[in-house]
Amino acid sequence: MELIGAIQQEDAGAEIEVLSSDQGSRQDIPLWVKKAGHELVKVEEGSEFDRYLVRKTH
Amino acid sequence: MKRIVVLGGGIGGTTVANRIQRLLAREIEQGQVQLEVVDRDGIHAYQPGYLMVVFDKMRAEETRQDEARLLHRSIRLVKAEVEKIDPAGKKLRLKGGQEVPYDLLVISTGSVLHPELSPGFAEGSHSFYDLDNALRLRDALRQFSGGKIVVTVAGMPYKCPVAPLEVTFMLDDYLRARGLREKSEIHYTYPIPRVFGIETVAPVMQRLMTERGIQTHTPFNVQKIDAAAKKLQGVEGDTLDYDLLVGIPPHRGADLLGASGLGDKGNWVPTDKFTLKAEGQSGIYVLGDATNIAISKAGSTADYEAETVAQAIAAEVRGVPPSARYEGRVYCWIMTGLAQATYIKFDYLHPPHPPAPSFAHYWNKMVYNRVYWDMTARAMF
Ligand SMILES: Cc1cc2nc3c(=O)[nH]c(=O)nc-3n(C[C@H](O)[C@H](O)[C@H](O)COP(=O)(O)OP(=O)(O)OC[C@H]3O[C@@H](n4cnc5c(N)ncnc54)[C@H](O)[C@@H]3O)c2cc1C
Repeated sequence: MELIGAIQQEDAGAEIEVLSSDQGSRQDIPLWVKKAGHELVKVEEGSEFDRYLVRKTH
Repeated sequence: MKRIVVLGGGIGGTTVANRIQRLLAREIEQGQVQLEVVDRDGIHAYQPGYLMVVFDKMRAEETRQDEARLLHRSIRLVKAEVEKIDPAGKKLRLKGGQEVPYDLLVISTGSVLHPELSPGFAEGSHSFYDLDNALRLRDALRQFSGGKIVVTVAGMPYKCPVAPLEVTFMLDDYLRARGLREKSEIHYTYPIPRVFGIETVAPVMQRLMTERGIQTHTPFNVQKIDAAAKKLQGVEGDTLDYDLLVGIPPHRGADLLGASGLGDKGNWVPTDKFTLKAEGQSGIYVLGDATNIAISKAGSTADYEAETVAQAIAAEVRGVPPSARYEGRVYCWIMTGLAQATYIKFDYLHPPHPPAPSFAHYWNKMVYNRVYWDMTARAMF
């Protein structure tokens, strides 16, 4: 997942936007964010891709 | 005369060159077409054999052959490191400064292992993704007298997505055969919230792991490995200690692709998933691990893609629009023990449904390991 690499490079408090056209992400991203203890701020489902906004909490 | 250059003499490059030869035999014979393969060292590696080497199912020598023996005699082999591709000038620059011009180029440079991108990996983890490490792991297992084994994946994407599953099942069987399973634990970690990427396959693999007492940790992304303390720390906050760690190192595409302005940030080439043309380029096709297509990086993928690329190249030479499409076909065996296997077969539209593991599937795989050189590399079919 792109998100994991991206999050590691940011400071706590940063918001990271991920675009994904992959069906599996609808399940994987929320599950991962919860497990890693970050916050899923917003999910927007689109016809070509979905947009996820994640806040790095720690 | 048209010059067709294939960059990389691995699984994809070799089979595509032999396929192009087949389709353009007359043109090559009459000197209207020149077909060349440029490869770093002229040694062809059958990498799936490395997993077999770990468990003494193949000898190291059986995983390599001279590239020259695999290519049709009318194909020229240039042994050289390519430093840069100049898509505007349509030429390759070799180490030492020589240039190789082309009209049509096929890129099949594979993936490059980057253990240094995962802190502590090189010091703390075994691997089996190159021959030296496979031999080292084989020797470590011969010395192993029980303890905690952890199998982990230190970065995505990586080639042969099923390999961490396979090594885990084979380790389980290996320890049982040696009477060490009771004295051991096997742990499997995976970066996403299930044990394998493809959703139809993950539950089947999870069930096999549960049945065999293999403990799974998902999602688990490697933060760092502490070789001295023998600890694997995850981004999600979990830490696992280990006696023997078997990891898949991070992968990137070949450096020269980034340096040539053809790669994305992982040095994978943005490629049309149906035509296999490099996006935004003319006369450049890409296959195998080098593409950015969201599909298994596997020898089987490269082999199926080679059919499409060879037909497209032949069409371009003859001045007709290429019509062949790659439909996303992949076929991979999954070793589920030392003498049993299943397989996954899928394409862009049809997900795989692995059959029950059996000796027969394992036997097919062992036969394939031997006939690979004729069947795939020499493109017998
Ligand atoms: C342990 C293991 C098990 C595997 N098991 C399976 C399996 O069971 N089934 C399966 O389908 N796949 C399997 N694979 C994956 C498979 O080996 C690869 O996906 C496949 O080799 C990719 O083919 P390729 O042509 O893209 O790259 P490669 O076969 O890696 O070939 C790349 C070639 O390009 C050359 N090259 C690279 N850069 C340059 C340069 N700058 N100049 C000159 N030459 C260059 C290299 O020397 C090499 O010869 C396995 C891999 C591993 C490591």
